[in-house]
Amino acid sequence: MIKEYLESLNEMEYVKGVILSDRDGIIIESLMSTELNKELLAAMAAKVASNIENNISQLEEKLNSQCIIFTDEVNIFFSIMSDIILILLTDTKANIGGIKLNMRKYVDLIHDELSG
Amino acid sequence: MMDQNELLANDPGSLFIAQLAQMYIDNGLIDEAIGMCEQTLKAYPEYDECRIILLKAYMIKDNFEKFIIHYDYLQKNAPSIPLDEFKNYRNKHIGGKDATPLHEEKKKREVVKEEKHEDVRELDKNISIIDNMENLIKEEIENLSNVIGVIVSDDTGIPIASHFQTEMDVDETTALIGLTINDMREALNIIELNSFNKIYIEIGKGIVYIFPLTESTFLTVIGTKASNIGMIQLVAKRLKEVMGDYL
Repeated sequence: MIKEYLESLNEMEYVKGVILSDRDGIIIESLMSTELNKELLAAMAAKVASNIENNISQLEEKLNSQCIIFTDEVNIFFSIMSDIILILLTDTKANIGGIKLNMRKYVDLIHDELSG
Repeated sequence: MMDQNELLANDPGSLFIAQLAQMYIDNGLIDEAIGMCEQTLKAYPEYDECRIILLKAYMIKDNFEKFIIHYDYLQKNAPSIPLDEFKNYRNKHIGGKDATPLHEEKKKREVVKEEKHEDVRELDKNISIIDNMENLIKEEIENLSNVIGVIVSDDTGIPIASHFQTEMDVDETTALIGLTINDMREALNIIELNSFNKIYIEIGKGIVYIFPLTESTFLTVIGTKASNIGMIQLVAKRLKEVMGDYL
C-alpha cells in the first residue's frame, strides 16, 4: 500500500522522485528516477528533521511537518510526521501548493498505515 | 633700561641688541622684540644674532610667512649657523625629510584623529542604513497580513535589522535561524548542492521563510499558518533588491 502512495506522488507533474525514510535517514521505500543519490537524500532529510526539531520547533510548542528547500536545480520537499520523513524531489517548475497538499495527505495515510 | 634708539645709535652691531630683544621675548614683549630686530636688520642685515632672535619671535607669534624669509636668508647667507631649534617649526608648515620624530608624532596623532572621525562617520552611516532597513521592513510588513516578524541577520546568528508585530526574543530567534541556516547548508552539502534560493519551514503554529540576501546575510519572515506564501515571496524579492544594495 505504501508503495502505491509513493507512486501516486511520483506521478505528479515535475516530480523527480519520492523517498520514505525514518528519522535516522534509513530508507523504508523509494521511487527515484533521478541521478541524485537516494541514500544521501535520506541522510539529508534526517539532518533537516533534526535541525527543525532542535532549532525551529523551539519557537513553537510542537514540531510540525513540512519544509521546502528551493535551489537552482531542484526543489526538495520534506514532510516529517512522527518517526517518518517523506521526501519529494521536484523540478523547479513544480506546483508548490499542489505538492504540499498531496504530501500532507499521503504522509498522514502512510503514518496510519505504518501505525497499523 | 636704555632706549632702543639710543642703543642702535651707539652700537648697532652690538650683541646687546640681540640680548635685549631676547629679554623682551622672555618677558612676553614679542612685538617689541620684532620691531627692534626688524629695525636693526634694515640697517645691518648681516647681524645674524639679531635675525636668530627675530626667528624666535616670529615662531612664537606663529607668523610663518615672515619666519621663513629670515630662515631662508640665514640658510643661504650663513650656512654655518645651526638652525636646529627652528627645524620643527619649519617642517610643521612645509614638511620635509628633516621632520623630527616629534613632528611625525603630531602628524600621526592627526592621522589617527582623522581616522577616528572617519570611523565615527562610517558608524553613523551604518546606523542610518540599519534605520532605513528597519523602516523598510516595517513598511513592508504592514502590507502583509498574518506576518509575525521579519529579521535580517547574518549566518552567525547576529541580528542586523528586525521588526516584530508581537513580542519575541530577537536574539534567541536570530540565533536559532542562524543554526537552521548552517544546518540546512550542511544538509545541502550532503547532496552536493551548495546554496539555496529560499527555505520554507512549516512548524506548529507558523511558517518560517528564509531568503538569502547576500552570501552571509539572510532575510527571515515568520508568519502564521494563514500567511500568504506568494505575497511573502513578492515582498521578500523587493526587500532583497533594496537591502542587497545596503548590504
